[in-house]
Amino acid sequence: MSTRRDEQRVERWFDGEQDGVGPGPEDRAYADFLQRTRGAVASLPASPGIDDARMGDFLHSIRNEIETPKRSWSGMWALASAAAAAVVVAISIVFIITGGPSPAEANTVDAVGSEISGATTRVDYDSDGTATVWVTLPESDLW
Amino acid sequence: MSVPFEGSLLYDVLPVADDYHWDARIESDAGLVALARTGQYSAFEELVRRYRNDVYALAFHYLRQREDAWDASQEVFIRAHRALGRFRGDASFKTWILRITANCCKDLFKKRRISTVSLEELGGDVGAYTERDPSSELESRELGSAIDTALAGLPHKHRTAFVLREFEGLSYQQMAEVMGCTMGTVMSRLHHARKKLQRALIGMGVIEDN
Repeated sequence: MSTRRDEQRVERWFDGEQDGVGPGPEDRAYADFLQRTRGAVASLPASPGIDDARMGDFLHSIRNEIETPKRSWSGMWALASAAAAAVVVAISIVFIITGGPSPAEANTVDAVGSEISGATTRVDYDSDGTATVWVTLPESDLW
Repeated sequence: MSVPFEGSLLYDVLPVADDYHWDARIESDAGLVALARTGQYSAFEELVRRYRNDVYALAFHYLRQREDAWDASQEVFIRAHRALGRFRGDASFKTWILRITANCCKDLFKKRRISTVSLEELGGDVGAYTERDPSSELESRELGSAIDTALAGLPHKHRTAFVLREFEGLSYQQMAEVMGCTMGTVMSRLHHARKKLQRALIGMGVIEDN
């Protein structure tokens, strides 16, 4: 039985390539298949081709397309990149000049509460405005 | 006035003189490419005239539709014109343009979602081939028609390999240049194409399973 390597050797011989080896008895069936295939392809109608009468139309369309200036996408990408970089620089300059937005202040307690039954809560503010939240547990609560 | 000769490395580097008169009938492909690069469109047109049928034949055998092959052929030469500056001359112009053709056909095939028939589907359609005229010529034509149909079910790389070898008659070396791969890969793809076709044709009842 032919192996793949045997068949490829036969193909190289069949295609007229160097180091191809003619078919042995085991390869005869495959060689016949190759021969029949080639004969069958040869029997197919040839490609219609582009005759001289149609060359004018053929060339006209090609020339039209070649001479139509194409939008340069690479140029547009460069422009977009430069614009994005300019925006980033502008925003950075604004931050530097104005010192940026005020730092967030989160030192005001709007409400305080606890889900622990019987617990009490209160808020104390010291001199610099730091809020401390106290949660007092009932004496009977066990940890 | 001196003009760099075609074999010289400088041919593609030095500009061709304005008063250089060239004759399309005797100008080589490399010469025409050099002239086309300088903007002489008539030189490019001569290349189109020379290779239009090679390009069209490959496109037709691949796409199986005249209109698609026409569109693909035009697209091939448009792409070739834009890529003239990248043609290095280490392969022949013919293999270079056929490579563009193979890539263009693949793109067109995907873009238009040209319908293909899987080899499994082909295997079921035995009825059309069960009654065969014993005459070898008719049988050959029927086999050819079956191959034509079965080709549609091959993957792109295998189909390209088979078409380049059996329809275009290219050598393995030329096929490697067109397909942009090694000769070993060419042989592998060609072998796979032939084996898949063999299985499809057996499934269609056109040939016997040996």
